[in-house]
This record gives sequence, C-alpha cells and structure tokens, in this order.
Amino acid sequence: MDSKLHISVSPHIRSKKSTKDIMLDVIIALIPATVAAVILFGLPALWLVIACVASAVLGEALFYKVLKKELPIGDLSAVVTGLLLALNLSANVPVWQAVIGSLFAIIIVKCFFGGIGCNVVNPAITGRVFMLIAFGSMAQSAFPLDSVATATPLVELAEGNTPALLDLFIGNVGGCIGETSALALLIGFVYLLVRKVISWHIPTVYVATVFLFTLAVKGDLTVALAYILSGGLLLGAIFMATDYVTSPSTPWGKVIFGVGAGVITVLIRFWGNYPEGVSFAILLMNILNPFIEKWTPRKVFGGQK
Amino acid sequence: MKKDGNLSVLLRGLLVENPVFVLVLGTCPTLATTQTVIGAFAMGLAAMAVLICSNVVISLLRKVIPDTVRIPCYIVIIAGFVTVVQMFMHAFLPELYELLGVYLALITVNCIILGRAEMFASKNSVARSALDGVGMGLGFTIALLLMATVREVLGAGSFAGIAIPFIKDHTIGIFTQAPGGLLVYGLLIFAVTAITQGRAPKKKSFGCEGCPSAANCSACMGKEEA
Amino acid sequence: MNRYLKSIVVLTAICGVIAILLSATNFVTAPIIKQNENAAANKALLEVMPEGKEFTLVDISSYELPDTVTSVYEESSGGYVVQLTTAGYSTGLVIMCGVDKTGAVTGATCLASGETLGAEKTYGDKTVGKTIEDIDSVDTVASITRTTEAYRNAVKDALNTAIILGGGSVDLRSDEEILADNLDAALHAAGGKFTPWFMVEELEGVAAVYKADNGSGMVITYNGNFYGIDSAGSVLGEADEATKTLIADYAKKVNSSKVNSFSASSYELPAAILKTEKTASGNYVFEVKASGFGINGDSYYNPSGEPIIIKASVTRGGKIIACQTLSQKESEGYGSQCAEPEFYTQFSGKDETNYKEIDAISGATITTNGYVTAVGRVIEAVNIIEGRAK
Repeated sequence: MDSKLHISVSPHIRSKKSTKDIMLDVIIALIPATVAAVILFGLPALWLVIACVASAVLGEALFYKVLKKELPIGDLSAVVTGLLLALNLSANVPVWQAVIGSLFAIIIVKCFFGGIGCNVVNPAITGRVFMLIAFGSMAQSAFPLDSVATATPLVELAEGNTPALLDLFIGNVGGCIGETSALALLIGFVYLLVRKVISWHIPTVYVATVFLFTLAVKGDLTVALAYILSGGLLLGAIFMATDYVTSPSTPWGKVIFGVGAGVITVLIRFWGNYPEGVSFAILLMNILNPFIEKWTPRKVFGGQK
Repeated sequence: MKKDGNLSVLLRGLLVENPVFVLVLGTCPTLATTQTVIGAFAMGLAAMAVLICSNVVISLLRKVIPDTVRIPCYIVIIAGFVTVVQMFMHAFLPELYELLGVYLALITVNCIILGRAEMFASKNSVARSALDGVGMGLGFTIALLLMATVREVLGAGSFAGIAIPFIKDHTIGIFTQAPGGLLVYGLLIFAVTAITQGRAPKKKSFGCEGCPSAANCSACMGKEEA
Repeated sequence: MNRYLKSIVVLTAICGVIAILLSATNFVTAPIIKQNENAAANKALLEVMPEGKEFTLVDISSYELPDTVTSVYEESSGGYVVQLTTAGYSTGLVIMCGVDKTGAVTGATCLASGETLGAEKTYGDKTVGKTIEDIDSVDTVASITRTTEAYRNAVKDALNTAIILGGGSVDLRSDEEILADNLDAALHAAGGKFTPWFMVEELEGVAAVYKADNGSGMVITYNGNFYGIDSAGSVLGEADEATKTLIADYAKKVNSSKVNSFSASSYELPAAILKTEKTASGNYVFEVKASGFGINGDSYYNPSGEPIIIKASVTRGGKIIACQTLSQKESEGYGSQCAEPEFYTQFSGKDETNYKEIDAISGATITTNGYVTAVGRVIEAVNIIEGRAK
C-alpha cells in the first residue's frame, strides 16, 4: 500500500512523491539555515527550534488524540511548520511564547481548518503574525532595537548606513534567527529546485519585484540589493510563499502571487507601521490565493478553454 | 408552537438556547465589553434589566399594539427602558457608567432584546415573558462573564482587576484586542456546541416563525397566522 | 382608515407614556448626577486645598495672567485654586495648584500628562508651603529635569496669578521677551532686532552670539551676562579689563570668521554625513542626518520617515561648539522638540566622552537616540579626518 498506491499532495497531479518525501526535502533544505541560526545566535536559537518543533508535533498529536482520529504525523508537515516558525523568531523570544505561537499555528490555523491540505493560510506565517500582535514585547525587541547586540539591517538601512553586503550575505547581522544568512537560505533554495520540490516562479518573481520596486523608490543599486538580502524576504519567498496548499498551482498564478507579495512587502517596509512586511504580505496573498487560482485555471488536457 | 414548561422557559436561555453562543445574537456588545470582567458583568446586568422590563411591557401590550407599527413600538419601549437604566447608572454607579460608555446606550439596538420581544414576548403571557427575560438575561450575562474571564486572565493577567501572580508576567496581549475577542468567541461557541450536541434546537426557531421580519417579509406572508 | 388611526393612537400613546417615564426618572436622577459631578470637580480642588470650603469660578478675562493659566477658583476664605496647562518642551502637563491667602502653596497635583515616568505625580508635594520668594529653591528631579522644571514654573505662575488677582503686580515677561530686552539693553543701537549666529568659533563661557540685523554690532552672552560690542569693536557694559579684552578678541574672531567648503572625499566618513565645511580657524562645520521616529504612530519605527538634518560645528580635537536642527518631521509635540533650542543647545561643549549625557526628550526616546547617534557620527568623522579613528 505504502509503495504502490499513494495520494500525491494537492493539486493531486500524478507524481511519485508522497507528502512525506516532500516534507523531508523541505526539512533537508532548511538544515543549512538552522545550522547557521545556531552558529550565529547560539544556544537560545537551538532551544527555540526544539521548542517549536516539539510543540507543533505534540500539539497535532494531541488534537487528533482528543478527536479520536488517525494520527497523520508521519507526513512530517508539523515538523516543517514548527521549524519555519522557529526560524522566524528573534533569539530573545522566551520559549513559552514560542510554544504558544507554535500551538496556535498547528491547532488553530491548521487542524481547525481540516488538517494538512485544508488550511487556508500558511500556519507558520500566521503563527508568526499572531505572535507579533500577541506579544508586543517580542515585536519591539526583535525589530527596532537590538536583537542580539546589533540593530537589524532594515533599521540600519533607514539610518542611511548600508550594512556590508558580505555580512548580509553570510548572515552576520541582527534579525530573526533563520532569516539573516542569505547564503544558507540560497543553498536550501537550490536543493529544493534540484529535487523539483518547488518551481522557481514564486521566489524569483517575489524577490525581483521587491528589488525593482526598492530600486525605483531608493534609486540606488547597492541599497536595493541590501534590502533584498535583509529581513525575512528570502526565508519567506523560498520556504513560506511556496507552500503548496496556500499558493497557486499554475505558473502564471505563481507569477501573480509573487508580484503581489513583493509589492505589499515594499509598501509595508517603506510606508507601513512595521519595519518588515514579508509575513503580512504572504498572509494577504494566501487569502487571495483562491481568487488567483480562479483567474488562472489549469488547462485540462483535451478540455475546452 | 408547542408550549414548553415554565422551568424550561427559564433555563433554556442558560445553555441550550444561550443567546450569545447558540442564537448568536448581540455579538457587538459581546465583543466590545468583554475586555474586563467587571465591564462584562455590568453590561450583562444592565441588558438583563432592560430585557425583563421590555419583555413584560411588550407582553402586556401584545394585544393592543397593531402589527403594522409593532417594531417602532418595541423600539420606543426598549429605548425608553435603556435610557432609564442609563440615567440610574449615571446617578448611582458613575464608575460603571463611565466604563461602559456608549455601549450602554447601544443596548437599545442589542438584537437579543428586540429578538426576544418579537420571538417570545409578543406571543406569550406576562409571567412567561418575564421568566424568559430572566433566563435570557442570565444566559447573556454568563456568556459575557465567560468570555471576559478568558480574555482578561490571558490578555491582562488579572481577574476583575485583581492581578493574578505568575500569569500577570506572561500575558498574551492579543486577547484584549478585537482579533483575540473573535478567537475566544469562536472557541466558546465550539465548546458550547460540543456540550449541547443533540439537545440544541434543530433550527426550529430559525424558520419564518422565529424571524423578526417575518411580518413584513413577502416570502412568508400569512404563514405565521396559519 | 380605522386601522391607521389605531396605529397612530397606540404609537403616540406609547411615546407619551415613555416620555413621562423618562421625565420622572430624570427628575429623580438629575440632581444626584449634578451633585456627583460637582463632587468630582471639587475633589480635585480639595486635593490641592484640603481646608477649602466653597469654591467659585473666577472670571479671569479682565486680568492679565500668565499664558499657562486656564481657570481660577476663589475659595471662600480668600485663597485661590489655579488650573494651568504647560507648553513648550514638556508636553502639556495639566496642573491644579492651590494658593492660600498668605501667598503660600497649599498643594499641587498633576491632572493629566503625556509623561510615563510617574515622578510628576508626587512632585507637587515638594512645593507645599512655598511662596513666590522661595519657589525657585525647589529642586528639579534628575532625569526628568525638563518636566519638573515646567511643573515648577506652573506653580510659580499660579503664585503670580494669586498675587495679580489680589491686586499686586508681577513681571510676566516670557523668557523670549526677557532675552529681547537684555539684548536691547546691551546694544541699544540695534533697535531690538537680532539674529542668533550659528557659532563656529569657540570660547569657554560663551553661550550664544547675536548679531544686530542693522549691522550695528553684536551681543555676546558670556558667563550668563550680556555684553554688547559696537561696530567699532569696543565692549559696552560693566566688566573688568581682562573680561573686556577676552570678549573683544572673541568678537574679532567672530567677525573675521569664514566658512569654506571642504572636500572630505578622500576620507571614508560615516554615510550619515551630508556636507562638510571648515572655517579659516580650522573648526569643522558638518551637516548630518539622524534617523527619527518619523511617523505619528505610537509604537513602531518607520524606516521611510524623513531624517532629521542637523548642523554641527566641531573644534579640532572633536569638541562640539554648537549644534542646531535644520529640518525634521517628527511627531508634533514629541519628537518635534528636537528642533527646540532647549534640546540641541545641550550638545555645546560636549566631546566623545560625554556627548551622550544629555536630557532625553520625554516621550521620544527613539528620536533622542537617533539624534545622539548622529552627533556621535560627527565626532567620529572629525576623528577619522584627524587620523584618530579606531
């Protein structure tokens, strides 16, 4: 049963890959960023990762236990949710807050809407936004002030200082634990592309939109480059905007999704109340996803246009 | 409509036909005044007072009020009682008056009160209407208290203004804001539905006979009398 | 027809009955509500004048009172309770102050403030028993100097108000008017028209230089005194010879001072430095941008906000001579105070070791931090140019 018959992930196109295989690939792709996070931010980062992953997995198990339903934990998706949420937190977030955010993401955002494949929005992103609103203290300490000894690059940029691009690329700057190292994230991106887990459309279009829009606003190539390497853009574009369930399935749909997320991100970064707009942008595009899918229908083989 | 016993009239408002969690009426004050337990309690009692008075008076006048001007009559009666309650609170409970602010006056347009006038008081005896007012008012108050308890304890780390040790250092601010209110509301509806499963009225009061606009609705003209 | 008539009659009757009910309730509750409101108002009055009995509002339109006074109550035994709203550096404290008939403070309390520090709540207690003679002896509270200073000035205004209402006369000139009068007294020839000069030359003890608009000379404030210097360069006013020579020399330096453009492109200066100039005497004049709060919101830093532009003059060696805010778009009433002289003149005389030791703008920590950082960048730039950079 396991090897012969399986249901591929939505949109249920014939594929040999099971959900578990895909989630395993995503986890492998996240390993460089996780390792970088622990190297750059030390033990607090490790605790956050462990707390988030454990509470996501246990939370889901508990939910299905209470409902007396079969446990779908084998598909590893809860691990991915917990890991992504952890990478989206700043190192000084207390562990108890991380646990609550993770439980919110898995139980309310995912399980309540019917579990894997049925959630309307990306659980990790929503968990992060929930924490941002719920724990004002976290938002403040993570963004405008020092996260770990240094101001985040977006704040530095606003002051008119362009942080060294190399530092931004390696990740030697302040910010959320998993977002600072562009190098580690790009390694993960290449791995996912090679394994054909995701297509290039959303991340590339998303980042390109942010780059061009920033260039148009700021008029400086280095500054625009610094802006795409800063904040949670790469992490969001590669790992969270590409979530199968909450992003369009056709190439053109993906392009629309990427452009929309990019525009919203820049609008929030420059004219909004928060320094970073990636999570809000992806969340908003998640909500618009059903409409994008409607505008860009998949051509059915042999069917009429 | 089958006549229920008097006890059932009194008790069903508490859970089975709880106005907030089952009938989903009066959501605006439910979300707006449940940030603190004290505010929720005061709101519940004020609404209950208005509800009992208006139920009694409307039931008394049910044979006098012509159908065509029914709604204006109800609104005038309800608004009158709300203003009376408001004046008394302003005079004798000024702190609570300040706390509830505009939501006190907004009891006038609380759907529970107009809804019960239309659904129950206009068709039942004075005593039964009073019982219904007490039951529904208690149900409303209990619902508000439940929500306020969850929101204040988790969001502000206190209960009725008294700080709770440990929790007060680990508050989750979202619960005192609107999204947290909706979240708690949804979860409590879920809990009540889970508890009352099977016993909740199977939409019986949601047909034309329970609809406040039935009389003016072309789709059901005459059905009610039949 | 009958049906319509019935509807109208019933609705009208119900309205009538409800109206009677409401007026009856109002008849019962209105006096109580009125009493409560009076008690609430009197409570604040009694708090600052515990022995007061009856208070009546005074019509103050016929008196010339300090600008901060908003209302005055007269107590039956002859004292006054004055309500004031402060303006300027501290953002609108609303203060209630009682003054008895002997002219001593009976109590002061802060009804509303934009502050978060809390000390302004108890500061009023320190002023109890003070009169107009010794009110200045009340110490301000460190770290909220500005707020408590405004508080003390308000209490002083209240004491003055009591004197005026009691028939006395008081010097009510504002700081600006006193300054203008002092300048005019020091150099009559200018006819009261002066422009502050942005100091690029340094002398210990000199706080400010004002040039007469009609070219008749200048006024230098030296150790708190005003000295006029006429166009011939001689010093007017009472002073010993040594001081006169010192001031005359400095005036000469000011008159001959010239700011030249100066290219710093061969140095790697902080990106925030916008413009570099140098005086003939070797001091630096820089323009630098500082990141501010930038938005009228309350909690988050906005990266798109307009920067604050600061002009600063620095000696060789890196000591700030003067500092001035050229432009800013900070939140009105909070961060916008960085454009007030009370704030930016604090940097005069500071150097690398102590430029952070200034009073922050209360309620605008992010603006203050941005400003201080920018001043630090100026000093850093001088260090780089002079080869002291670490």
